[in-house]
Amino acid sequence: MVVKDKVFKLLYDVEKPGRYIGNEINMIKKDPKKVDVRFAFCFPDVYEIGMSNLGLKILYHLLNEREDVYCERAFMPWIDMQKRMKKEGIKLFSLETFTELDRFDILGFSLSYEMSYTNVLKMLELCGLPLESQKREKGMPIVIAGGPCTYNPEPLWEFVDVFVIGEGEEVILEIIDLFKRYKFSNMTKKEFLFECASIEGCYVPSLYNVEYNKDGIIKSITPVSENVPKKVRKRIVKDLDTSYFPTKMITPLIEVVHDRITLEIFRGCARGCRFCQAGVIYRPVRFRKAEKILQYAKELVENCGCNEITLVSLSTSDYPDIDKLAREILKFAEEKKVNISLPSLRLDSTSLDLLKEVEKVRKPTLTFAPEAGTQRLRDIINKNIKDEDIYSTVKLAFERGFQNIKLYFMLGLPLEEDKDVLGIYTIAKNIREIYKELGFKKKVRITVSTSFFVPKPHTPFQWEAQDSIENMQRKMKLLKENLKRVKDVEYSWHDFYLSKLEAVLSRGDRRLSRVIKGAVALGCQFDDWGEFFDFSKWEKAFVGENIDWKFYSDRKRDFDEVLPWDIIDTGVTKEFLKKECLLAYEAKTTSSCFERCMGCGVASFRGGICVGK
Amino acid sequence: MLANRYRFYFSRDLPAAFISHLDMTRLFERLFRRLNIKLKFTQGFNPHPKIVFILPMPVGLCSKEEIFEVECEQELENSIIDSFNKVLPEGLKMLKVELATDKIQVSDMYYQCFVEVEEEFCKYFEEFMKKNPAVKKEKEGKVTIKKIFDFLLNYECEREDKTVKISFHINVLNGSYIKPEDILREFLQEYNIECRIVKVERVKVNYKRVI
Ligand code: SF4
Repeated sequence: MVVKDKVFKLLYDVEKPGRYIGNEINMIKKDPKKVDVRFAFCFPDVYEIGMSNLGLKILYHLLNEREDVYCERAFMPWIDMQKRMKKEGIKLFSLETFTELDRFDILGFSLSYEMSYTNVLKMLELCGLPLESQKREKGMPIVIAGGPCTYNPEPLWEFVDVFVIGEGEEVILEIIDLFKRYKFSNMTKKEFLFECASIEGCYVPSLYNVEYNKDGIIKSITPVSENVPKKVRKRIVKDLDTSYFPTKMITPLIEVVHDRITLEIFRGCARGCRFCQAGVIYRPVRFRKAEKILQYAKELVENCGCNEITLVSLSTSDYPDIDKLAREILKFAEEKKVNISLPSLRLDSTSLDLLKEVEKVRKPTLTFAPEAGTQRLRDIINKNIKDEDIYSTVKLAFERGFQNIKLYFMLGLPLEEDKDVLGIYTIAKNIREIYKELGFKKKVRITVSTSFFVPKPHTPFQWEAQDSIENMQRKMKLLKENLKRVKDVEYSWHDFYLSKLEAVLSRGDRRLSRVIKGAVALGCQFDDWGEFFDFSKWEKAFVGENIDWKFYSDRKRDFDEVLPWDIIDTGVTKEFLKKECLLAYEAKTTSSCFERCMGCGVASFRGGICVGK
Repeated sequence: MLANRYRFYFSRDLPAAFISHLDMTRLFERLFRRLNIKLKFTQGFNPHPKIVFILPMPVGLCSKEEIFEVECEQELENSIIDSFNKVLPEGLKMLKVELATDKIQVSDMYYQCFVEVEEEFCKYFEEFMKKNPAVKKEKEGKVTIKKIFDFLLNYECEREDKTVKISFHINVLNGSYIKPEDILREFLQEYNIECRIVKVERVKVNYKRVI
C-alpha cells in the first residue's frame, strides 16, 4: 500500500488530522520523477507553528521556482501520530507527495529556536536515518540547516552536514548546483563537503578541529586544511526589492498560529538593544520600497484570500512613512474586508491613531516592551523608552478606549538590582493610577509579563552570566508580592528552567551534541511545550556526559576567551560588541543607525542604510 | 443594499474530509475573496460573512452532497461553479448553486461506514442491535441518552473483502438525529472490540423544502 493510504487510515484516531494532509491552497505539485533534486524542508515543530514561519514560505517557493528541484515540506508529528506511525512502520513523510524522507536528496532544517534541537534529532530518527553526519553515506540525504540558531551551530555539529549562515535565498541555490554535480558523478561525500565549505555562508563543522584547555574553555578552532575558510561569513540579500518574495504563498487549510498573510517590509533593526541577537545578525537595515510592498499586498490578497495582512519587521515604526503605507494598503484592503495588523510598532500618539484606524477588528490591546523597570537599567541595555513616554502614551490610549495594556519586561539583566525589579512594580502602579485619575468606570486590564535574560551569542552581552535559578526565583517572588498590591494587574512569568536550558544551548559548544542526543534518548522532545519539558531529564543527560550545565549559563566569560561561535562572522566586529558592553557598564547609551553610524562593521556588506555612511 | 442568499451544493472526500467545521468556513471565505465575490458581512466589531452549513460535518466525514448557504452582495452566474472547482483543494468539489428563495430542512440521511476489523464483527453487531441499545453522551456534565431505534430507520452490516461496510438510514426528528460514529463507538465499547475506521461517508441526504 502506498504511504498516503496508510497515513490516511491513521488520521481518524489522531488529534488535528488536518496537520497531516497537505493539499493547501497554492501548494506546489510536481512530478518527482521529473526533477533532479528532491528537497524536504523540515520544520522541527508542529504544523501550525511551522506554517506560520515566513522563512519556510520564502524558501519553499523559491526552490520550487527551479524546474530541476521539488521542495516539499515535513513537520514534527505530534506524539499521538508518532506512536501510530511507529506501530504501522511509517517513516516521517512529506506532505506534498507522502514520500518518506529517507528517499529525499536534501533535508533542510529550519532552526528558529534552541528549544527545538531535540525535535531535529527526533525527526531524523523518525526518518530512520543515522543521526550523525559521519554515518550517513552518499545516497542518503544530505542534512543542512539554516535559521537564526545557526549563528552558534556548535551544539548540533555532529548531526548536520552543512549549516547555512545568514539569509539563505542565494546560498541555497548554490548548494543545490553543487549537489547536482555530486549526485550525478562519483564525487564522494567528503569531496562534496569540502567544496561546500568554499561557498560563502556555508559552515561545514566536520572540517574544523576544536581543542580545549583543562578548564573546559576552548583553546582553538582550526580548519582541517588551508582550503577551508578560517571564519564563515554570513550571507545577506543586499537589495530587498530585487530579491525573491513569493506572492502566491502556500496558505494552510487549518488554523495555524499566525493565520494571515505576512509581508516583510524591511529587514534588520537599527536600534541596537544590547541583549538582542536579531538586532545584530540581521544587520544592516534594508528597506523594501513602498510600491513593491503595495503590489505584493494586492497580489497576496488575490492569491491567498486571507482576511488579514500583517506587515512584519523588527521595528515597524522605523519604516519611513509607515502611516502613508498602511493607509494606502487599507484603501484596497477595506473594500475586500481584509484587516491589517502592525506588530512591533513603537507607541506614541501618531501610531495610536494609526492603530485605531488600521486594526479595526482587533480587541484594543496595547503592547509595550520597556524591558527594564528603571531608566538606569534601560540605559544599560540601550532600550530607548522613557518612563514619561510610557505614561503619556498609556494616558492617550485610555482616552481612546483601550482597556488592555500588556507590558513586557526582562528579569536578570546584567547589573540589575532589586531597585530595578521594583521599578516594574512602580510602572504598573502608576499606570493603574493614571487610569483611576481619568475617572473611567469600566474595568482595566494590565498584564505584566517577565521573561528571564538569556545571554545570546553575537550580542554585547554574550560574555555575561545568567542569573542562577535561585536568583531568578527570588526576583520573581519579589515582583509578584509587590504586584499583588496593585489592582487590576496580572502577572505572568516565564519558566526558570526553560530559560536556563535556552541559555545553555544558545551558548553551547560541541560537547553539547552528545548531551542533546542523550536527552532525546531519555525521551526529551517538544521542549518548548510546557507539558513535555522536563529539566530533570536534561540534568540526567548532562550528568551522563559529565558536563556541568552551569559552565554554559551561569559563568561570566573573559573578553578574550575563545567563544564557540567565534567561527561565525556576522560582520559586526567583536571590538564593537566589547565597546558596547563596556558602555553598558557605564549606563551610557548608543544612538541608532538612523542618527549616525556607530561603526559596527557591517558596512562592509555594502547593503541597506549603511551605504554612504 | 441588494443581498441574495445562495445555496451551494458540494461534495467532500479525502483528504479534505479532515478539515474541521470551523476551518471549512474560513476556507470558503478565502475562496470567495479569491474569486472576487462580494459577500455580505455581519456588522459590528468582528465582521464575518455568514456561511451556514446545513449540517455539521465532523472531522473525517466524507459526503456526496453537502449544502451551505451564503448571502452575496451581487448576483452570481452558474459559471461560478467552474471557477470554484479550479481553486478548491483536492477532495472538495462544487456541484451546483441556486438562489435560495425557500428554506430547507433535513428529513433523513444515509450513511456508510467502512471499518477494518476481525471476522465476527457483523454477528456481534446484529446481537448488539437486537438489544434495542441507546447512545449515551456527556457534554459539559449533561448526559443525554438517545435510543438508537428512535432515529434509525434501517441498517445493514456486510463484509466486503478486508473491510466491513455498515450502512445506516437515519431519521431526523425535530432537528435532532443520531450519529453513526456514536452508534459504532457504543458498540465497540460494549463488546470491547478494536477496529479501525477507514471511511465514514454521508451518501445521501434528503431534504424537505419549506417556505
Ligand atoms: S555599519 Fe553603521 S549604520 Fe551600518 S549597521 Fe553598523 S552601526 Fe548601523
